[in-house]
Amino acid sequence: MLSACNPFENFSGEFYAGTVDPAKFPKAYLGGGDPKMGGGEFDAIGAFAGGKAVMYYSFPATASDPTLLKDETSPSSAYDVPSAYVFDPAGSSPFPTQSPCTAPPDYMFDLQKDAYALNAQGNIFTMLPGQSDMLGNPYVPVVAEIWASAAGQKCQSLKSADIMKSGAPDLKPDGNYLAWAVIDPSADVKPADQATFFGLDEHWGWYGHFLLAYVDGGYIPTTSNQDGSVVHAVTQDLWVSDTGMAGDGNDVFEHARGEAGYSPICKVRTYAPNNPNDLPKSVAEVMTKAVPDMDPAMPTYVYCLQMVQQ
Amino acid sequence: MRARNLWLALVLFALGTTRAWAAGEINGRLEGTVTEAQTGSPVPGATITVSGKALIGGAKTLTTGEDGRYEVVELPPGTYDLEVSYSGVKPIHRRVVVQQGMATPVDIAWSAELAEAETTVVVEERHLTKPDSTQSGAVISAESEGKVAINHRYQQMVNQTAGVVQPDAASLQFAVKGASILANRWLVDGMDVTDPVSGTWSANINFDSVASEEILTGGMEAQYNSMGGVVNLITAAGSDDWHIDSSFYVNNAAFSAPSTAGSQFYNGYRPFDNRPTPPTSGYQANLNVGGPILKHRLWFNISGEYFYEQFSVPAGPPLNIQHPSFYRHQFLGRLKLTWAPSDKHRITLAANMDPAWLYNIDGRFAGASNYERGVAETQQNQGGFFTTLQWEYFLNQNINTMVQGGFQYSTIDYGAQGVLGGPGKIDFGPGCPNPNDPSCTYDPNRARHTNANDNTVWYQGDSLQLDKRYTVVLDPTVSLRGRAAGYHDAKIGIQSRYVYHTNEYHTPGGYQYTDGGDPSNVSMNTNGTAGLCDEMAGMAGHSDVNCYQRKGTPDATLHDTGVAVGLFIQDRWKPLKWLTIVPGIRFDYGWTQNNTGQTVSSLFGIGPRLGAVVDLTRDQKTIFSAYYGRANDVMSLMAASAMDTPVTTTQQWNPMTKNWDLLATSGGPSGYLLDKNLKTPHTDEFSTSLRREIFLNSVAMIEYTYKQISNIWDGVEVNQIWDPTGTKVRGFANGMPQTIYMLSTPDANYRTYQGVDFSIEAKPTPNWEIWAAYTLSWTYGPGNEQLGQINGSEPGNSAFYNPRQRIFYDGFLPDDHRHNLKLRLAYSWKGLTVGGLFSYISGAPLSKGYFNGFDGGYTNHRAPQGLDPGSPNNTGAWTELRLPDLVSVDARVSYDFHSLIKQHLIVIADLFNLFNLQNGTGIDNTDTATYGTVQGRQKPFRFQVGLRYLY
Repeated sequence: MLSACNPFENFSGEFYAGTVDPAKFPKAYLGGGDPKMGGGEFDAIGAFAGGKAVMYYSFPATASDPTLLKDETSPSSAYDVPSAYVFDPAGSSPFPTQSPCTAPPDYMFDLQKDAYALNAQGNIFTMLPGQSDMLGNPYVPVVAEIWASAAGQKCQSLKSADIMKSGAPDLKPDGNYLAWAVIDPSADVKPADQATFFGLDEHWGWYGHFLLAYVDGGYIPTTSNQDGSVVHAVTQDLWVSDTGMAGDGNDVFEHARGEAGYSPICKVRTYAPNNPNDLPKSVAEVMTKAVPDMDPAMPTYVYCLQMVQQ
Repeated sequence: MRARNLWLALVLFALGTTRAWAAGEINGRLEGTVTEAQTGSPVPGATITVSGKALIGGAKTLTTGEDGRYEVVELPPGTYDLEVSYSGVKPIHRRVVVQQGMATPVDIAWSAELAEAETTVVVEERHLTKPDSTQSGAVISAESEGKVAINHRYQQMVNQTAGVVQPDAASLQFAVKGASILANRWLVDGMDVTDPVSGTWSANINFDSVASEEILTGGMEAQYNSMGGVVNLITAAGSDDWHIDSSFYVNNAAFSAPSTAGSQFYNGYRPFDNRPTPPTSGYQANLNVGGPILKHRLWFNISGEYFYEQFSVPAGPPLNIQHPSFYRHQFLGRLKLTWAPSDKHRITLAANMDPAWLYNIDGRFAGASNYERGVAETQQNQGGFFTTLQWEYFLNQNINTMVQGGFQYSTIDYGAQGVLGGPGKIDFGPGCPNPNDPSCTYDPNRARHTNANDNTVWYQGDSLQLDKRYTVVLDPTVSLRGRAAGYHDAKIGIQSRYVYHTNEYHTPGGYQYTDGGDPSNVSMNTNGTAGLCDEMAGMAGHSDVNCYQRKGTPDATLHDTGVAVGLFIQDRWKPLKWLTIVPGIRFDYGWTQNNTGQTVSSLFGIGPRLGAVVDLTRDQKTIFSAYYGRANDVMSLMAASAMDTPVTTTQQWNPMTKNWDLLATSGGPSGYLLDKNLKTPHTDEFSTSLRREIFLNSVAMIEYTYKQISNIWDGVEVNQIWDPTGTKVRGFANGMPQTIYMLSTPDANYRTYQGVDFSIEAKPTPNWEIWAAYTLSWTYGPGNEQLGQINGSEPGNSAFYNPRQRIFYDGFLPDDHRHNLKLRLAYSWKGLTVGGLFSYISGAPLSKGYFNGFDGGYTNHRAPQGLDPGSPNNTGAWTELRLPDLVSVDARVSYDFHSLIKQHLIVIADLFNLFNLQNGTGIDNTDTATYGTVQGRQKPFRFQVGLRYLY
């Protein structure tokens, strides 16, 4: 009789547990808002790359070496960014053009009824902002990709790393790294799709049965030592006027997303503009229209997740 | 003559199809077999004579059949003398108790020697095994209740039944075997007086006018159509003897323990809390007189009660000003006339009134009284009257009819005390008169303001709702008995009901303001200016400081109507002496209409019932029963009246444009949709029980019940488009900022109950009375409430308000008390009676509430009902969240001075919460810094003294 009286039978297997609670998220991942009051707002920052306008989301890099993605040289210094199960990535994009998972017949996403779309499989994360790994390393908005496929599965039927570990224990990080920043799911991400209200680069995935939101910054180029035990991110420069502030709309990227050399981890560089009313819009102009600080005493980094060019 | 009466009954039958709805058993039966003691062979032709003080019109006489069997039907509840006589032999006598709705089995094994002995010794017998019934529950007599401490409310007797829980000690509402508190039917002398809108009890009755109360919890015959329980109250009738019952009870804070305690569960009494105890008291005076107007033919019983209570909450933050006391005046009156023009007719006319005036009703609650001055108080005038007329016609032993009609009017007028009761009813409190303080004057057209900083309320009481309800019922039934492949006791009836509900709305000042407020202004020194908004903001020369939001509801009068009719057929078929089959079926149809003339619901339901009762030991002492039944709720004005709310607009002050911007709209005809595919709410019940008479007048029972309540009414919100988190609305389906509820009975709205009851009822000697029950039960499912979110009373309690939250509404329901142990015990000796009520109930489930920015309250959940999510984002940390278990012990000691003064003068001492236990009855379950602190505790020890005179 006891089992017959269990009211939680809908909460077995890969059940849905609601959205993640951002109560312990650091401020940077709350969008400046209070999740209790409906969340904050992530506004894409205007910038330039090669003279063209681009937009990016910025997250602080607080680690002593934000470029370090993996270090297996000694147990005492072992480090690895958190991993994520990435379903059916499509070449240069971590997202398939069409998920091979099985959607309900004639399914159309209903913004009012559905908490999440049932015609795609969300990627599964293993760490949230505010959490630390077993060695005490804090969350970073970077994941080590574990390739997985949702082919033959009901869409969104996989919601936790536990099911992936038990169902496919051989899946390991494949050497690719992605800049994915988990954010308060109640925050607004702008610019947004006017039809769905979701941010254009906002995506939805899973953490331990909970639905989460994240911003995609794309793949991170890396370098590694000969045996692959140490992996570093290749960064790009983000030039900032010393007359203004980073994120004031005039930052200059070395590379736009989609170009060779693009990285969502930026080394912040400053320059002194010759004419504050004629700020540079490309690295070449930084060199000609300003005096760049070519040898900063202490390099600073920022996660600079550029939006996909629309 | 007989034919004419039968024709009249049939005409009333036909008329009944346009009105009426429910009726209950008001009588009981005596049945048994007379056998020859030595051979066991039946004794046909023995004369059975039944007489008793409750039986108007004289004794009933009949003879045993060929099989020695007899059945005396339609006996009003009471004690009866049964005489069995046979030509040439001395008669045998028994004294037995007959209870309403029950068969009292009295088998007599007759011998000449026994007859000789029985003429001198008559012992009262109570046979409680219910040998031909599947119905579970209890019948509690006034005599039993007179021995225990109880708050003189007939509703409290309901809790003395296995399978019943009282979710809120203050509400006097009960959840019966998994059904919600809104699913019960409340009957007075067989007439259904359930409130047609709320589904709760609607009438108060003088406690001393109650003769007995039957509480049915399951296994119900087809004549009952209840999703929950049935409470059938039988009021006192007159008799051929004169009776007076008068009493007076005094209850004062001076006799009680203080209620100050710390805010944590482990905190207890605060010995150094020096706050003066504000007045708290209660007084009750009762007078009941009954007797004959014409002996054997016309009886009367008249009853009156006056009740006064006063209750105060000590001054506390944020205002720290002693708030005026809550007080109530209540008058209860009842008249019952019983007329037997001949031995074939019994006519009963009854009238009841229960007006009450409740002043300063916010003063009852710590969460309200310290947040406002007396000028912002609210009053409630309630009550009404009802009258019933019953005509019972006994054609012969095999056919009798009953026609019952009734009319009820009830009202709940609620709103600003200065408007409802007049300015003279306002107690402005300390600091007044002060002409500079607006809290010291009253203007009926001034708006109510709430300071958003500290939730203090100013200037005006709540909006007015003048609510009136009218009900007409007519219930004709025919009972037929006879033999065809065994013995049949069948009943056919029609139950019909017409209800009309009207509600008048008025908001003093046109709006209710929520202001930005300024906590620095809230103090004794500033006497209530509180930094409130200028209502003329935006107009030339007026300030807009602190304006935030306002809600406006125009004056409106709305009404809704409902009609229901039910036809039932039931039988009690005894194909064998030890086997009773109880088949039945009922057909119910109900229709409701809202204020705009739309049909809200047109529902039909078929309710089959089938039970089997087996006398395992063939002596009516070991009874096994099994039952399946369905009940349908085809007519409830709850949905129609939920639709009939006026348009309320919420506006927000725009400091840039100096205008009030429309923020949201709710209510009104555009605020609701009708579900064209309604399904009839219904209950399916399977139960089985085993009852055994363990010793004299004592029975033990075990019963298992599975019950599912399906398609419960609710309002499904269909316009708001929530973000995936369910904490904010990102758009509206129709582009307009409003809530739209579809009135529906969703398949996903259900609740399930499984429970096992163990109980013992015993009166082994005239001195002792024992009743004990233990229930082990589970109540779960998403069907937490009905339509509560529409009127805003339960925004965080509905699965159908916010679709992102629906997953969390599948869990243990608030009525899920796993263990429930109850004991009623009384011992009498030479005028001294000691009685007590003991109750242990395990804690109710709770859900932790998280802030919803859109709703502006803690209406969201992050784990299923009954669970605390613990640390964020870890389902492994979800843990059960329950209130603490509660134990209460109430005792009565009384002494009857009859042996000294030859008059029944009784001194009564009631000791409520004898051990002064102060466990938490409520906690802060919101995601705030005060999460888990105690918000309410058991009422402390209280002493009540009473004096009663019986003649």
